[in-house]
Amino acid sequence: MASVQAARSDGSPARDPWSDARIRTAVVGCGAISSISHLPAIARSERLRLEALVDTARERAERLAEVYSVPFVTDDFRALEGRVEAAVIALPNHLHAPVTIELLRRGIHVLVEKPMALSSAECDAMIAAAESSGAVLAVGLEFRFFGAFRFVREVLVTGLLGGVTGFDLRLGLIFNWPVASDYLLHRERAGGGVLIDFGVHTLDLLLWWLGPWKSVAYADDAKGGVEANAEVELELKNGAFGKIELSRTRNLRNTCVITGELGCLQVALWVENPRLSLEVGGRKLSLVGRVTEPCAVASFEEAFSSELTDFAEAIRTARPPYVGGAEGRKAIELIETCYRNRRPLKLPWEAEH
Amino acid sequence: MSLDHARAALSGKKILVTGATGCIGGRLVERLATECRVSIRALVRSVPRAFRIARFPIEFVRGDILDAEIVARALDRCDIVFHCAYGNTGSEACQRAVNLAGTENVLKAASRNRKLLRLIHLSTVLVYGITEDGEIDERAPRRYTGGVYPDSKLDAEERVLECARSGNVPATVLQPTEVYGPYASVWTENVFRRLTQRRVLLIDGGDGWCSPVYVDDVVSAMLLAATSARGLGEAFLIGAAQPTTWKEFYTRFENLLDVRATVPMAAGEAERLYRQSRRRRRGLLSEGLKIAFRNPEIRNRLGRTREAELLRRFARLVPAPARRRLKSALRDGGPPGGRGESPMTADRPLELLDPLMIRFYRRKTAFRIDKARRLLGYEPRVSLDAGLELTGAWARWSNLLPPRADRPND
Repeated sequence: MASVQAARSDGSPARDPWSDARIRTAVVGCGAISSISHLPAIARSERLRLEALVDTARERAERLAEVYSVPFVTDDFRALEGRVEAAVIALPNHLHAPVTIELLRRGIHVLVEKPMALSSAECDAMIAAAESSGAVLAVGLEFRFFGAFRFVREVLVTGLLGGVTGFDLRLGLIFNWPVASDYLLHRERAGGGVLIDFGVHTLDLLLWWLGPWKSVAYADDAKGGVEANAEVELELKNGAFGKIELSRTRNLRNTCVITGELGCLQVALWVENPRLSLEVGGRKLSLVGRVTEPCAVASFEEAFSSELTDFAEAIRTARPPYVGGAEGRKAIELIETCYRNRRPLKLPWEAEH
Repeated sequence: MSLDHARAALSGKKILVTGATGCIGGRLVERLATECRVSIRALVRSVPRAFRIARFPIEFVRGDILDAEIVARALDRCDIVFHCAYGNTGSEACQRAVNLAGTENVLKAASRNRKLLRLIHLSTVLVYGITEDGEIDERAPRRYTGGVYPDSKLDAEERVLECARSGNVPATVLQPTEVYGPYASVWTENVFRRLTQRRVLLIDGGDGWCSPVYVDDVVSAMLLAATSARGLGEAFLIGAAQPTTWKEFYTRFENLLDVRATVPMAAGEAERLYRQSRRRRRGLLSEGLKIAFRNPEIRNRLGRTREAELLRRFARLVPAPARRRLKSALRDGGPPGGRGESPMTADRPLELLDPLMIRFYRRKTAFRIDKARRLLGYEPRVSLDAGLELTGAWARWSNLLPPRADRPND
C-alpha cells in the first residue's frame, strides 16, 4: 500500500493523520474469524482502536473484551451509533447486507467480511447506502493483498503471457476451522456452501486477474442443503475458457494454472507465501519461486493487517478502499448466476439401492 | 422384510443419527435423505466435519455426546435413533468415555422418550475378541482383547442389550465386520495410506480370513433393523456372505493404487521382528516426545510454543520436497514412498504388527450372517469387486489414487 505520509509539494512534512486519534472501531460478530484474525489485527494496528464488541452470544464477546481490553460490549449493533467511527462485520453471511446497510446509514464506515452479501441486489443496496452517507464500504477479500496474487495480476496486465487462452483452478481443503457458530451448515444463513464460502475468494481473484466473464456452467453436490463440492466452467469476455473445482471434503491440487499464448503461470492457493511458477518464451524459460520485497504480504496475518491499514487510510484520506463494494460485488454476481443455473454434480458411488 | 418395506415403514418418521459425520453415519444420512421420506436430525460436534451431510436439508443439534442435556435435546420427539458415534480421537480415557458414557446418555434419553420406536446401536464384530478358526455366530462368547475400542464397545453393547431386554429401551445391536467403502477410515482410507507409505505385512501370506462388507450393505442392515419387529433386544452380525482372504482384500487395494507394497511373512517371523523392535531402546527425549505427542491437547500446546513457531519458520526455508521427506520420516520413522514417487517400495518402512494383530490377521473365522438374513431380511448385495469399483471411483475423485492418463491436470 502506498504510504500516506508523503511529503507535501512545498517540502514541509505531511501532517500525520493518525496523530489525532486512532479510529474507534467495533467488531460486529465475535466468531472464529474475529477472534483469530480481526481482533489481533486491530490490536496490532496503529491506526485503529478497538472500542466495542458486538455479539448476540454476549458471554463470548465479554470474554474477548477482557482479553483485548475493549471498553464496550453489546448484543445490539444499533448501540454503536455515536460510539465508533468504523465497524468490521464478521457475522453469519445472511446478516452482512442488512447490518452493513444500517451502519453505513448511520455514517459508520464498514469493512464487511466475505462474502459481501448473498445477492447482487444486496450488494447494490450496500453500495448505494455507502454513496448516500459518504461512509467507506470495504470488502474483506484479503487475498488481494497477497504479494503473490498481486504479482499474478501484474504478469497478466502487462501481457507477459500474451492473450490468456485458458485457466484451471482447483481448491479443496478438508479443514478443521474452529467455528463458533454452525451457520455454515444452513443454506438460509450461509447463502450456499463451498462456492460462496471459500469459493468467493477464488472467483474474486480470477475476475480480478482475468477480467469480466461472459457465460458460466455450474454443478454441485447439494441435495437441498449446502454444497460440499462444486464445479464451475467459465467463459471470459476475452475468450478464455477454464474450469474451477472446489471442495470441502477433498484435498485438491490447490493451485491456479493460467495459460496464455506466450506462456503459462501457476500459483499456489490457500497457503502462506504462495509459490509461483512462470513459463515464458514459448514455455521454454521457466522461473519458480516466491514473491518477496517490496510487496511482502505473504501471510494471512499480514494480509489482514494490510486490509485494515487500507481501510483506515481510506477513511482518513477519503479515498476509495483497495477492495470496495463494486469490486466485492463482481464475485457475488457470478456466484448468484451459478446457483441460479445449478445442475447436480454426479457422484458415481452414490447410486441408490 | 425387504428394503422397500423398510423405506415405506420409515416414511414420516423423525430420525436422529449420532456419529453422522463418520463413514457409516454419513452414508446413512445420505441414504435416508435420498431414499426415504423422513426428517433427519444429526448430533454433530465439529461443523467442518459435517459438510458432507450438510448437503441435505437436515436439522443439526450441535454438541457433544458426553453432554447428557444435549443428547436428551437431540433425542426429543424422535421415533428412531441410530447411534453410530464412537470415540476415535483424543486420549484413551476420552475414547472410552465416548463409547460408554456417550452410550449411557443415549440410553437414558431413549428410556425417557415414549415415542421412540427403535434404537439401533452400532457395535462391532470385535466384541467377540480374536476368534478361533471355524464358523461363528451371535451365540459365541464375548471376549475382551485389551484394546480400548473393542473392550469399551463390548461394555457399551452389553448395556444396550440389558436395557433392551429389561424393556426400558427398544434397542437392536448390529455388529459389522470389516467395513470398507467411501470415507471408511480403517479399512479404506488407512489401507490406501499404509500401502502408499509403508510395506504392509501379509501374515502367513495373507491366508487368514476377513469379511469385508461394503458400507451400503451395513446401512441397508440398519434400515432393515430399524423397521423389523423381530430384532428387539437382539444382536446381529453384519458381514459379507463369504469370507475372503486378506491377500485378496489387500491385493485389490494394491491394484487400485497400482503398487505392490505387501510383504508375505510367516506369523512366527512377524512376531520375532516385533519383539526385536521392542528391544531397541529409545532415548528419553524421543520417548517423552512420542508420549506427549500422542495427546492432542499436549500436541496443540507444544505446537503453540515460541520454539515450535521458530521451528516452523525455519522449516519454511527448507525446499518443499525435502520438507515432505523430513515430515514423513519424522512421522513414520522411515523414508516415504508415497504417490507420484518411485514405485519401488523396498526402501519404505516395514509396518510391524503386535502379537494381537498377528493373531487377528492369521485366524480363519467365518462369521455367519444367517440370523440377520432370517430375522431382518439382510443380504449383502455389493460384491467385493463391485464394492472396490465404487471405492476406487470415490478414491480417485478424492485424490487418494494416482490420476488416470485422461486427466493430466489432477
